[in-house]
Amino acid sequence: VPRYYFDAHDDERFTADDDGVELPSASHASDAAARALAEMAIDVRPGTIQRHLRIEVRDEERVLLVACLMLEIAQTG
Amino acid sequence: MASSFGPLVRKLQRLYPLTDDERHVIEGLCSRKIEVPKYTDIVQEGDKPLNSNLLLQGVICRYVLMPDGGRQIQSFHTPGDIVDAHSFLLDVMDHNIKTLTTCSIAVIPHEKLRAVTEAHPGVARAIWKDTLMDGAIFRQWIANVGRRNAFQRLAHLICEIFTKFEVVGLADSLTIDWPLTQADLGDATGLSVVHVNRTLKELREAKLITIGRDKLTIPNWDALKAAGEFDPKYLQLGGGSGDARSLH
Repeated sequence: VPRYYFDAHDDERFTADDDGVELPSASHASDAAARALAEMAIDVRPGTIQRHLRIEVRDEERVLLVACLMLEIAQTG
Repeated sequence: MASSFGPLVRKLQRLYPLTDDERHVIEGLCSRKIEVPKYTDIVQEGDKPLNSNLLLQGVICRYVLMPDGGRQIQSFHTPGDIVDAHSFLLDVMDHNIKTLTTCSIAVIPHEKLRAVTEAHPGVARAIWKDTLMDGAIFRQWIANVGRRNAFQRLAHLICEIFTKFEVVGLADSLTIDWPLTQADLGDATGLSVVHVNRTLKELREAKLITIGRDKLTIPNWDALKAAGEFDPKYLQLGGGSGDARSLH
């Protein structure tokens, strides 16, 4: 089973994945990245008006995909 | 068998004061001792067991399987837990129980449990209180999964597991055996493995835990407890025996 690594950026804060996760395929890794982004986003930081979350998924050799989630709050009145 | 019942007697003693006679009766509950390999289902949904299982050594989880293959772990069990005391009175099992390590288990026939609880109300109340404590743990888990963020959730879970080991004398200062995988933790807290991995790293970087070679160490108990909003009173460990020794 291939092992995928999920390096995460939460604005300027970077967390490298040293352990990795075994998943059946790259498509499972893509779904896992999407889910992880949503889980990061759910912990709202009070006062946030802009937040950029990004996960880079790599295998042992190269980066396979990048998933991003952007939160932006605009005052309208 | 007397010595292997140590964890259970020690735990029940914290929950409910036992007489020497009652302790003796509890030690006589087991009919045989079995060794079960890692990752074995000892009870499956739909079973109608004739025995309950007292965990002597190792770690066990209780879980349900979802139709899509997903797993929700509902509790972890440590030595001294009768992992399925409720099967004594329930007609059919509604969940599965699996070993997460090689386990040593004392098998308690329901027939014997019936005889002992009828003859010794103190033993019945102690075991009853133990199952009520399981219920209190489920309530905490619901609050944990429903209302805490990932960092707090894992901190709370680790505090609880550590305390359960500590109560039965299996913590080496602030270090315990740690057989749980990131997948186990994810399935217990409703988080993905990827998020568990990232959050454990945050806990390590905050110097709240260290994990290595099947051991977990808590360098700063008060800080981990604060991070997980952990208040051990739901574990009911102070009242029963009048033992005033406080947990860390």
